[in-house]
Amino acid sequence: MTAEAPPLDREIRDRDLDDAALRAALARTWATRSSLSGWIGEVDHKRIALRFVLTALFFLLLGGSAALVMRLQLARPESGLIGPDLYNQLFSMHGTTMMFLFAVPVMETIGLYFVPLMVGARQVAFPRLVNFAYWMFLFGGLMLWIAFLLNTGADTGWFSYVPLSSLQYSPTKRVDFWAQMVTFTEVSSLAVAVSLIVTVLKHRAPGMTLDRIPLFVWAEFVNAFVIMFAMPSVMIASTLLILDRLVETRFFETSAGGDALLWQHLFWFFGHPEVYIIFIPGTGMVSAIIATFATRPVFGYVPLVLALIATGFLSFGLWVHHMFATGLPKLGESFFTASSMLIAVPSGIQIFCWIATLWGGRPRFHTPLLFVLGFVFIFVAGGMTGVMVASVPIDLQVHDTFFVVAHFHYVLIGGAVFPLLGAIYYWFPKVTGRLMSERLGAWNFGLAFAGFNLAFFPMHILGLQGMPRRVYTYPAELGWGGLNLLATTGALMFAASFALLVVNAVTSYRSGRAAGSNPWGAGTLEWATASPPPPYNFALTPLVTSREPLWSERTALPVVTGLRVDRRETFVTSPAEARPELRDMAVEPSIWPFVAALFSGLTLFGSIYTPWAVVAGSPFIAAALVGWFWPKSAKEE
Amino acid sequence: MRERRVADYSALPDYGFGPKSPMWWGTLGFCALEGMGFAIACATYLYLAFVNPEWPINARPPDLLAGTLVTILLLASVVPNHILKAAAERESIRAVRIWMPVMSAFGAAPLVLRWFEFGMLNIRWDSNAYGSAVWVLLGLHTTHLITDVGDTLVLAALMWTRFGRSGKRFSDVSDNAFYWDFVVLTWLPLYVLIYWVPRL
Amino acid sequence: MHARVPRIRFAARAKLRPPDPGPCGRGNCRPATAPLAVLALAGCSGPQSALDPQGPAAERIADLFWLFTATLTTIWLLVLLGLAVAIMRARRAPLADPLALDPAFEARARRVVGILVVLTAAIVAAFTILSYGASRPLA
Repeated sequence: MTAEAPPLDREIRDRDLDDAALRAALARTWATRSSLSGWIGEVDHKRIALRFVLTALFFLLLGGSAALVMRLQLARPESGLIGPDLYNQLFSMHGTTMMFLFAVPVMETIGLYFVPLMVGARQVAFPRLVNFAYWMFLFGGLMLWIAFLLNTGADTGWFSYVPLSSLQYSPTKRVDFWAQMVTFTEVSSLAVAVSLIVTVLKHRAPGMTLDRIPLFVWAEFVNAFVIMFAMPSVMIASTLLILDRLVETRFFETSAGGDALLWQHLFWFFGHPEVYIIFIPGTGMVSAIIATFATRPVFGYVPLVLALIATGFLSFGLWVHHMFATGLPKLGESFFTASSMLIAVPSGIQIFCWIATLWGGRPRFHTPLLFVLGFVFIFVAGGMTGVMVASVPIDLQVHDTFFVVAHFHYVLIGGAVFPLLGAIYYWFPKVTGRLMSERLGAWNFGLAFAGFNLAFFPMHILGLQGMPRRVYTYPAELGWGGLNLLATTGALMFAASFALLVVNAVTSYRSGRAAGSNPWGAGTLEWATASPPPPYNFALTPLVTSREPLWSERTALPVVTGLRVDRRETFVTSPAEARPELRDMAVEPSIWPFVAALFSGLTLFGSIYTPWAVVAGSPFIAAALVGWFWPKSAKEE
Repeated sequence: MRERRVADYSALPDYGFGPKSPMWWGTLGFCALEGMGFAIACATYLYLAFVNPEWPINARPPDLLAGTLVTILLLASVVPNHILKAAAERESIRAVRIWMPVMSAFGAAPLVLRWFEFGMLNIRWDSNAYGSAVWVLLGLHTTHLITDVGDTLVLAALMWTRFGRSGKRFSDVSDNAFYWDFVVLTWLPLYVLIYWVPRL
Repeated sequence: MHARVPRIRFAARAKLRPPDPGPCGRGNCRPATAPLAVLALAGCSGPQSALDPQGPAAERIADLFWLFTATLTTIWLLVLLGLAVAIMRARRAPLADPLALDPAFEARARRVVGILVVLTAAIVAAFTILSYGASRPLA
């Protein structure tokens, strides 16, 4: 970086510069100003994604704390630690936080960090939109939790069924905060989804044809489509709910021609794909980790991609299996039983392919792989109970019991959190430039694995014994005390494993071993650049010749030139063949997305109290959007 | 990792129209998710119509006049819209500067009529679920119209500034025209649902 | 407390006051004291238990439940066995070229994975039909 950067008053091309001068020029062009406006106007996908991930992990801490308080309450029968009203808020906040504020954002925005790096792009598509998405997410999450601190926490469960959530039975503002938080976070997820889709379609490095896209990128790509078609449903649902509560529309009011089940249909049409929105990126992480630590390409690339796509489609045909207990027509139930069972097929394909990869590879047992092995153990068990609850008669027996609680924690924590923890250990060196401690990592895994199973396995039995979910206590005579105590012990262990993760991350960030660009000897492009990657990701865009460029191009990575370095330029390629089409201008930082998010946030917040907030807020939002899109200088053209 | 330079793409253009442009794909993405939102809203309407033995509930069907005029106006706007789109792709700044205000007017006129449409629904949003459903459908499309007209107005103003003469701006105009087609298209099923389903 | 009566708590209260707490309640069933007994006593009887059927329809469901549990547990154990064998059988020595694959292994793996996928599909199809059959008396 000591080289003199060329002056900026003329067009400069990368091909005219040697390596040092090129990096100096790029560093100057792509750097974010270190000022407040630079900070809130950030357009570097890596920095925004890191904020997203850290914020989501912060919400994990809050949601996890809520769970721990519930577990302490349930540890013994007739405990008086907390009362029913707080308990209702805690389970609603826990579910809502984990689904909307932790799992979906964290799984999606790890993609925001790594998808551009893995496809050899300099920037994500529409980075300002992504920055807007971050602020919307932050404001929505903070609003929900500040409301909770003011005793206005959501208390009708994460799916807020009507009529319980109608004005008649929930007269305070608790449900309104919940409903508006949904709108905030869904706008955010949708914006990131559009950005990821266009990044994958148009910003892949030249030569990265469809069949050379890394499996993690495929997973995030398919996932973004699922988000795009699932989230609008819950936005409509939460909007109708708030309209019913605020301006007295009658969508869910049976006495006026409305329908309570309509809410369940709208919610679960989103709610079931939501589970896959959390799980699909997890499968991408598993594929990435398995390839690297089995030291060979993943077995069955094409079946795995097809399984991802099939999972995406099937996820929209399952929602009614959450409603088996509502008395739907028989034939419909059978259809949804069949489709719910069918999802086992693509999941099976994936599991079998991963095991075959390990079988035919040379596994190296670093922490990321340990978490993947834990994932197979837990997730497959969750899949098995999933097959059980897909069966209508069995579901009717265990509906709304702890059996279901056990099932979905096995699926979600197994299918998403274990891969996520593996991914954190896997990519930490890329993000920070330092490796995490393997010794602490092994302890972290052991504690998480044992704690998880101890916490959640007993819940299967509790559910079969008839313990309903969402009860704040139970009488001693029912004999559930022992298993509940066991579950609480496991929950504390599981929580301790996260404390260990934090300790490991902090100490490794300060004094971990330097990672270098490719510490694991991995094959995909994110390992071709420095750790941490520079703001421009790649000094020269790679030319992709295979699925694992770093394994096939052992001596020197082929790269292409032609971009200007005096302004932010990046290649745009064709969707299927990744043939270069344009040299596109990437945007500069801008404070307007933040301003637009702030006004949108205030408007949504105000609308909890009066519909006129929408009228008052719209001009401000419009003004911010004009500021956002109005070009500032000829250089931006 | 060491690198070897194997190709040079300096000759590529720095903007493009249609599927070449990332913005076109972004617009398509928003069309898809908004289209999904409309589909869900329509499904809600049909669901309510299906579970209620009487539809419309305690109301006369909406009067046809304003809604039909809006439909005709929107369909007619497709013609100038495509003239504008072609002008943008020819990169003719003169034609674009003329047709952008025309399209702004074609966007604003249905908004005026829309005001009367709400009055001709013959029911309030809080009367019953039927009233809620038609008001929300009409409201959703009105929001859609307002945002696109706003967008068109800003872009029209931009084309009259020094920033107008740029390839990227022409590409934006072309994408804006593409989005308008989508606004028109989403109205057609809504028109059938709001005005004709109650007459079945 | 205000006037609302949340559905869940209401339902829970109704369930939590059984007329007869059953053998569990009399304290002769203490799962946590002997972890090994947990599984054996999973069928712990009582008015709330799904595993203590009191009629022919409930019995059919309980039978179905045990059939599912047995089959699925077997499958789960087989998957884990496969995983364990994969890890233990895999070669240890790191090779310079991760792309050097053994064509014989790839072909064999393709066949095995293909058969397993077909088996998965067959099992879920059978389960779907069995569920339909078992839920008929409920209608």
